[in-house]
Amino acid sequence: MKKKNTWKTLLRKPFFWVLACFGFMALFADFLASDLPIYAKLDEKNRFPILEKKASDWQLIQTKAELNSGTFWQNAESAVWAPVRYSSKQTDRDNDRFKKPHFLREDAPKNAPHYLGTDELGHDVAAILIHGAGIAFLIGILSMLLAASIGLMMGAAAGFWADNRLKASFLQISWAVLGITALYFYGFKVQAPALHEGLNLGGMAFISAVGKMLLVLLFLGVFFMVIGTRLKWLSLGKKIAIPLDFILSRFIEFMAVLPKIILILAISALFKPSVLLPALVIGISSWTGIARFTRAEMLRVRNMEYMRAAETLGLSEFRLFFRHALPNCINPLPSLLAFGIAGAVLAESTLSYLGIGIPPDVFTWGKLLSQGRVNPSAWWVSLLPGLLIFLTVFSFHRLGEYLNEKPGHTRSFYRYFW
Amino acid sequence: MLKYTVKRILFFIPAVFFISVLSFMLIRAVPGDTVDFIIRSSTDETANRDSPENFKKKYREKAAELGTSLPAFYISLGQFSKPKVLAYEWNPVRKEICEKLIDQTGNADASLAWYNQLERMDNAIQKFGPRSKDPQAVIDAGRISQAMLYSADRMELNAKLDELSFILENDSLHQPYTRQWILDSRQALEQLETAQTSWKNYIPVLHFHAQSAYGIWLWGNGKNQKGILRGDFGNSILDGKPVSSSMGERLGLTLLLSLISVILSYLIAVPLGLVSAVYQGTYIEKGITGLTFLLFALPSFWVAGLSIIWLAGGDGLDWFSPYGAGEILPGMSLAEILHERWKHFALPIFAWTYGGIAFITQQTKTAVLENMGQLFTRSAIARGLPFKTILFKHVLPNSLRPLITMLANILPGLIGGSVILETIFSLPGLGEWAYRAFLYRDFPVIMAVLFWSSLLTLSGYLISDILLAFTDPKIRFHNPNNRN
Repeated sequence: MKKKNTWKTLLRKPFFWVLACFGFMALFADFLASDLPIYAKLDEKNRFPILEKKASDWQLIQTKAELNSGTFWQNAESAVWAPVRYSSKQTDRDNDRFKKPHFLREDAPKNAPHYLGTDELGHDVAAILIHGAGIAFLIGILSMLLAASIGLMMGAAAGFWADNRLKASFLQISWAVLGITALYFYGFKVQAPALHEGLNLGGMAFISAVGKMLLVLLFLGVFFMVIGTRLKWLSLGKKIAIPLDFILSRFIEFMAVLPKIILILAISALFKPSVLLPALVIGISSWTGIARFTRAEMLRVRNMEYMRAAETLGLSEFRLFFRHALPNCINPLPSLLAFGIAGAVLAESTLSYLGIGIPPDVFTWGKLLSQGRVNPSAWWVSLLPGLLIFLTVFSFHRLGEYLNEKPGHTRSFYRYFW
Repeated sequence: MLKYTVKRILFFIPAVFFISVLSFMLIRAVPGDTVDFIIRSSTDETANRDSPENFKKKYREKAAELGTSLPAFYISLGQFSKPKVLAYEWNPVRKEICEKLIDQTGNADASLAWYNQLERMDNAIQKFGPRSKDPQAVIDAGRISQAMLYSADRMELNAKLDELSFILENDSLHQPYTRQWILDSRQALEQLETAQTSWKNYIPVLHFHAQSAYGIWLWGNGKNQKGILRGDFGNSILDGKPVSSSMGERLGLTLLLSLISVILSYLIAVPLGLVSAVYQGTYIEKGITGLTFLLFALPSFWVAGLSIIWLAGGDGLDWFSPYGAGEILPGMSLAEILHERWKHFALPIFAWTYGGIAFITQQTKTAVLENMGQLFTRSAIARGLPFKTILFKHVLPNSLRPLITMLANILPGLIGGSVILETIFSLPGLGEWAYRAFLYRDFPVIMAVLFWSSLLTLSGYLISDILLAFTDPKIRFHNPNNRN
């Protein structure tokens, strides 16, 4: 018999430590690689420049000129520097054009070494590797959250109502079509100028535009749902079964038919490059696997005895769906998410390798890797980032398998993640 | 069987329709002025030195030809405030600014009247210009009126109008005219400010159009474009060649490479899966699983890049050729052709193949294990048949079924993979073309690539479904639950 997986068994797995290490790198990237000191004593005052810089980036405190240059802090009375004394965006003019790692160089700078060498423009490779972990994790997790929320809803709805369980009168169907049109019109079409402006301005304008849109969508959605289900005269007449499963399954199939990377290329052409763009496009294009899996699970759960019992008790469809059916088909979700994150990290590095979606001043593993084509003999540029990508993807895979090993959930779902 | 196949093929039509509509929507939403790009990059040398009127005329013709000045589809959901005429507007600047003004004020008449007045004034200023006494003032005036054409900010427009009136006031020769222009413009702007009807923005209207860009793409414009229904995908914007003719060559290469890599990965993975099922629980199985997943996690572009560096003459061995598909010269013998192909295709095929092995191996293993527990296997064992016979004659044929379904799922991945691998190895295939088309917004090519790649994957689904139906009579078209 397989032993039950607990936190203790997790601690013995190498992949857990790899992920923990990368997660640490991602969370504390600014403290591990920065041209500013972590702590400095200046004019008898204790300063924490990296923290201050973070706070000013988030507009909590006013920006100060000395936070933008590392050289200012070199005449501090005492300072504790970050382990890697370069930020990922900083170019070192004296050490550009693929300088070798520190321990292989004779003419290496003594006080601020480039431990893993530099790239063409003089970016520190170690700093890019550290900061790249954050971007890879952020994009991987965000995109999978997006994909999971779309895929879960699509798949669960398709499996729950199947082809014959959702019945509605002609009037109700018309009402629903009207509602969807209204949602599109008032939610997107009318708000489009404000959204566009918000996207261009960024910051608060963007948040308020999106918030307004979501509010309108929520209000209209609830309005049409409540009236559609409660109003008696809408549900008069002969009821027609809506083949929801057929419709959604075909939709999922259509989306799966479009090659993912081509879909990603097309969507990312629509927007300005930003760090969140790859997360958005990867999320939008990779929910089909989760949807198909959830649908299959839901079909299984829906036909179980306890569901029929709950139905006989006269519970509402809403309650049946959210309280009884859905929790039983999301058990494998963590494992699916881990596999999905692995795929998303791979997709993100592919995108930035091709130079799509990521803004020019942000450096990622994939982007660093693409420089390996310029100078093949710089192995620290062509080998190291790929190794990190490989380790991340592999560890997330192992995590997915580990989560899948729970007793009672040994279904194989590799085929959903092609 | 025939009925099933026909039904499955009929399902193709809505799928392809849906995909083409979706890709059309995507493409129409992409920012950037294609017509402008075509005219400026055309071989006609005079294009860049054209007068504005000439340029506008050319622009108008090209836009009509490509259908960019038409609404995307035959039906559109619009706002009550925006008139239908605006949907047919060929001048993108005018369209954009008028739409922005209407979004702000909700008054289409006033917005269009203002913009017409502005255009009239701008035209007059550009024309009267050379005969003025003070050339600098005219240049300034022209610059300001040009800038006003691109602005939808009413505050800014007011300020610019003040500036313009100040400049034109000094020009005594044309004063009578210019005063009138400024007066008219002020009036139009005031009208825009006072007669706001924002409520009109919130009323939806359905518009039906007699012509649409999608229609032109589908069945042509009756002139030089025949539409995709008659096999014409238009001309590439980048090189001006017909898309359909280049498509043939590129599709061939991508298909060849994908097919070879599919066959190779099945040839490698099925025996591996079989072995790991037979030796389940031992270190052999664990080793195979570990190794295949290790391979899966290796990013293909990384492996491709490293293999170029180390095996194709970059830094190490010089066994393969890093770029291109190779050239077949007329006088070459078969061995030489094979050698040439091997040199160019071995690395891409390797990079294409290794990632898929893990999934096929797992799938085979699961299927074989499942079938080993079945009753027919037990009865075969009871009959005293040798193990090899049971494995290869009873278990394996039954286990191949999920592998057929797998085939359909692999195809989109392979075509997606072609984008990056063909870019790295500079192979003139579908993926490399798609990548370049997206970089330069080459819409006819993008549409064609989306269309063909989805058609290919749909055919993959179709073939696998038909094969499945051949091997398993339980499957019926009416029960889609069987697929998953």
